[in-house]
Amino acid sequence: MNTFGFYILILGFILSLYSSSLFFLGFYKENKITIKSATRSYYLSIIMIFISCVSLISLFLSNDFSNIYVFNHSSLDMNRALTFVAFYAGNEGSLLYILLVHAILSGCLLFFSSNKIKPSLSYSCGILSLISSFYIFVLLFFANPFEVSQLNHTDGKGINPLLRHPGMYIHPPLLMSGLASISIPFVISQGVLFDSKKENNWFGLLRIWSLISWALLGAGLLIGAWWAYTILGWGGYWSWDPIENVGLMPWLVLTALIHSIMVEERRGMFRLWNIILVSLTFVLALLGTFINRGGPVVSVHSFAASTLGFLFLGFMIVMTSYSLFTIIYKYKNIKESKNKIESYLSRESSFLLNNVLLVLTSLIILWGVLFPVVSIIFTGTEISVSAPYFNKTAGPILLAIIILMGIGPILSWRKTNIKATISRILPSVILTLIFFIYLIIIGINKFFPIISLCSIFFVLTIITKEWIAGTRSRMINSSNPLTAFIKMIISNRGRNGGYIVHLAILALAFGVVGTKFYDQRVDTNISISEEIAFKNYTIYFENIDQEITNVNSVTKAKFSIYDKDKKFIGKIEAMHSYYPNYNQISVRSGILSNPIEDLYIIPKDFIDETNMTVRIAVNPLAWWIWASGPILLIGTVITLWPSKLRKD
Amino acid sequence: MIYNNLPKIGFIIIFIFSINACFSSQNDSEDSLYIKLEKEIMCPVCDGQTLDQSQSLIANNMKDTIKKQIDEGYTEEQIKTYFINRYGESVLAYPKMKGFNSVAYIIPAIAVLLSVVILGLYIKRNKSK
Repeated sequence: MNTFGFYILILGFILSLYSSSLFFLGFYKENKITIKSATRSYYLSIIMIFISCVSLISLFLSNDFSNIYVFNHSSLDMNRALTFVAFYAGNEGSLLYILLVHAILSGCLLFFSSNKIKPSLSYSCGILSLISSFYIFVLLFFANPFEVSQLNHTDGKGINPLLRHPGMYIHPPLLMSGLASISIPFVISQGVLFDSKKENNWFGLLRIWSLISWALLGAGLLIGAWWAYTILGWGGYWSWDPIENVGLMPWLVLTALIHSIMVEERRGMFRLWNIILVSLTFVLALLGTFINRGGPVVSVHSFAASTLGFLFLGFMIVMTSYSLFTIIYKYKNIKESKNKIESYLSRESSFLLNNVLLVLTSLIILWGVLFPVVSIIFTGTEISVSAPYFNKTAGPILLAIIILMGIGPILSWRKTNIKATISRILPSVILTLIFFIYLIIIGINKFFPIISLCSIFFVLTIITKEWIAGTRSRMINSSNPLTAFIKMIISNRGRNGGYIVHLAILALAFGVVGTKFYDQRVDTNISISEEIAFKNYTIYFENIDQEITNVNSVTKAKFSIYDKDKKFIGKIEAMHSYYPNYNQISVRSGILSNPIEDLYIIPKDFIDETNMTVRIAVNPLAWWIWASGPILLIGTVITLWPSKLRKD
Repeated sequence: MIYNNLPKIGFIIIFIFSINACFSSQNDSEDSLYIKLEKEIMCPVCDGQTLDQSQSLIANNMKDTIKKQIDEGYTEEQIKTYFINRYGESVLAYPKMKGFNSVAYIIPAIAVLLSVVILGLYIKRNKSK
């Protein structure tokens, strides 16, 4: 099976190189038959990639520990369902996984795009198959997942305990898919640059694929945060770690892109700018891969650390110069409309400001990620750049973006009638003022939270007002407000889907403000049958349970939680799972969650059978952060849902 | 009228209720300096983790030291200097606003100002055409 998988991969390599040359040839000769043949061989290479993935999985399932990758990431006692996680738990497997996603998505692009665009798309597909070839090349020569060991192992090392968590089934695949999928919008933008006939609806295609990447990456980041919150045992969810940052940077630029692409759709402007944004996203995603696989900065995410950094650095430099080169030499192929920005107070201007702020945030984060290297070069001293720095620099800009979220959508295209706008936002302004006074009264006086909460509230009232007005105007025909509301949402999916996504971002910001500025914690010793009062809770320590299996030994502390009036609210279990083979403890915090606040118990040390030390924390509004995920997905799906009215 | 506004009113009530509930009993606890320091000092042996994220032995020892020093009346600056002298400047979770490292803050500030000015000029030029 090992040699089979390897040879199949070689076959895939040859096929994708072959198809890429045919794609380019067919594009320049405008030969439909060559393109057809290229397409077929590309589909074949996708099948080969798929088969080699299946061979690796079958090696896992048959416990073939002669394979070094299987030996390192699996063991006999491992739950078979975890094979899925083990597949991408290391450097080689995660590369193979990224290749698979890349192949499947490019297959989708080829399969679903209309016949009209196919001849012009073949240049893009040529690049896609070149990227495939690069990944396969790395797999074959530098990170072979089918490498066989000379030693005869009867059992493997098993999977890292930290990865044995439900979040691991979704977070890495989504995040890697998100990063890998960015090559699709990138090659579409290359299609724009190389299409001299200028008659295709490239930007419609670009919009769809950027939204898909955006949603994948966003969901991946959010689930990663959730995993950190429940398992890493420190009560936080985002630590501004370099690897988190390199995932966030392309997402921010993609956010800019999906906004500015609307200006393109509506007014035909910003075409060159959109292409620059796509290329920037792509380069940032490659930078992420480089930093992830052996870059110059330290991070907790060392799962894929390898000596392959130089390869990806090289690839990044080549692709960056390539995209700069194509933008400089081919931008004449972009048909910019004659439309201009007509006013500071217009939708176009607000989108432009939003773009500038988002790209700035992304670049500032990049600056922070790379600054330790800069400091070593110029001063020779090692320094750390972590959360406090990013909160100070990126935080205020993110806040400005939220404020803009309220103002942007109410401005009209071209020129805004100031009087009409003021009367439109007046109720929201008044409500927000009342809200502001209310916040002061209940004792919220820190600058950041008060500004953030007021802007969140402002945006919320604007969106609800818009929706209520829309629903009301549809209530004339039907009396049921719910059907009227749904009809209103469906009538303009792009806009309302966008609003729903904005609501998700508001929920996220709401949760971040609560947890960031108002978390409370206490470290304490506690013994069985003891009661501890913390904030509005009384925590009663029931007992300690120990379960020993052949994989791990789990020590569970059980707590009953009562409120002030001694009314029972719920139970919390917090545990340590000790994995002797790894000499590693995986901490699982106990969480009692509701929309107001999370009671969060971190088990620190089990001192003996009756005593332990715990950290008890109250994280206000954390619930809203996780609530934003589903809302975000619903909004994206509504936006993407194909509408008959949309022109092809 | 009220019927139409129900979702809005409901949402706002929930919103205000949650804020009220979680912020009303807020008071700065005395160990807030400890929490602040825990987030601003790195664990020297854990890749890229601050003290509050790490459960390692050395991190826990450092946390105890911080608690002790706070009890003894050390100021924030003194505690930080103590750790910098022991572990080097990289024990701070952020670059200091001093010397070359202040560039870390100056560049973003300049970038923000510059890009907003350029944006303003760009729109102005567009308008006049």
